[in-house]
Amino acid sequence: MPSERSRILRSVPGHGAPLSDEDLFGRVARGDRDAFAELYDRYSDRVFGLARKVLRDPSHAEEVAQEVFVEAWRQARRFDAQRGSVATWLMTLAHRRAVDRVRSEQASRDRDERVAVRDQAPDYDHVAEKVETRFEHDQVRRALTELTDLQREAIELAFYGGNTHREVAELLEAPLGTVKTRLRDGLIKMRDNLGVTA
Amino acid sequence: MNAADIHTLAAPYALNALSDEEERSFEAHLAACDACQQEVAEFRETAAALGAAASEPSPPDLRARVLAEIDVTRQEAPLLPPPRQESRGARLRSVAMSVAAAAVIVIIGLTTVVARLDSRIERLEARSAEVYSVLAAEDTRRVSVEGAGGRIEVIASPSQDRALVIGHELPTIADDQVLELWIIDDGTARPAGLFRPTDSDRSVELMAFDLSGAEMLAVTIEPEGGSLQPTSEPIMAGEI
Repeated sequence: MPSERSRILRSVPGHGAPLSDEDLFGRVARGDRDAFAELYDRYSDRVFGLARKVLRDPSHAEEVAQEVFVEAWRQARRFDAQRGSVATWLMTLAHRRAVDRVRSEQASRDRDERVAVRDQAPDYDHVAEKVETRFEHDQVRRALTELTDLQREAIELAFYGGNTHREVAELLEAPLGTVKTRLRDGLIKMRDNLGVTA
Repeated sequence: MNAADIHTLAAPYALNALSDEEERSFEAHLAACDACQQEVAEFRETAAALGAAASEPSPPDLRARVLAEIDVTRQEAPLLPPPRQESRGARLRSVAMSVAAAAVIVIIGLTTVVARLDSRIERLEARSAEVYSVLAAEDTRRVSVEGAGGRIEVIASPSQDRALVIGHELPTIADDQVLELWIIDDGTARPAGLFRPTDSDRSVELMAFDLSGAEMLAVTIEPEGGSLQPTSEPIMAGEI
């Protein structure tokens, strides 16, 4: 049924095989807003989920996710596929922004609270367990369970907790050198289990 | 920190777990260390998989806000490939590039309004140039496509391979539907484009369009994403 007044048409994407992330992002780099919307649909859950894991507060996570996608749009023409996949680039950006936000909030907190955080350290096993039950990716979960407890704790406190390696050492009451070794060995093991070849 | 030690920072670096100061000193090292570059790339990919595992449904209203913001956000110009060689010149260039990038960010921060206007003007200029090229072509044809569903007008130039589509009267369709335009040629239909009626965009739509051999144009209502062949009766049609 025709509407009363004239309306304007806007073209929408469709047809054909789905584009690879890299081809899709190539279109984004040419200013294609439909391609950007498709990129958003592919990645919004992952970007938001990671920001929420690190920040915990959903509204902060939402702000960070918005920042990440706008930044991806702005920087699209600077993306260099030689240096890694679109997925890795986006997730790295998302993690970076979430961590920056955690740190700027931490900086404005006073020391008493940081001590309180340290006193809660024995709870992290519980946190780690909750983290794991929410995993959607079996492969990653398997790779994580194949780490030693100490490697996994260190990686989770650093990556999901947004802690620096020095803070991780403090939380685990372990020497910094030990924490660095655990992070490194843990990542190498996960890398090999996931078959990552960069 | 001694030279042997610094390699061990690739893991915390890839996890964003260094202090600002440690990060700067590691990046200075990274620029010249192939082994660390390789390791960081692999660790980042591993970390990305860890990040993806935390996936959870994003808030539905976030999408519209993001898309609205990119409508007024200008894309930055591409950078030259970063220097890879270990040389003082390369490091200086990389420092200069960081400084330049920081300056660009500051300038963009200060001139957001100008940038927004510029980006809109650029888009409008590009679009109007395309519109003129279609309207001014020697072989431009106008086809009225109408029926019970409404009326659209297609102004097409085979030599420009482009067409303008103007909605005059349009049906109301569901959110999971689109209007699909077809080129009818010897009794068979070729998909020519998908549309949605919208109140917000005041420009006519431009599209790639190959009119060769066409006899008729028709419009059907199709499910979201469009169809390769019409799945319903045309609601508008027009002979060329």
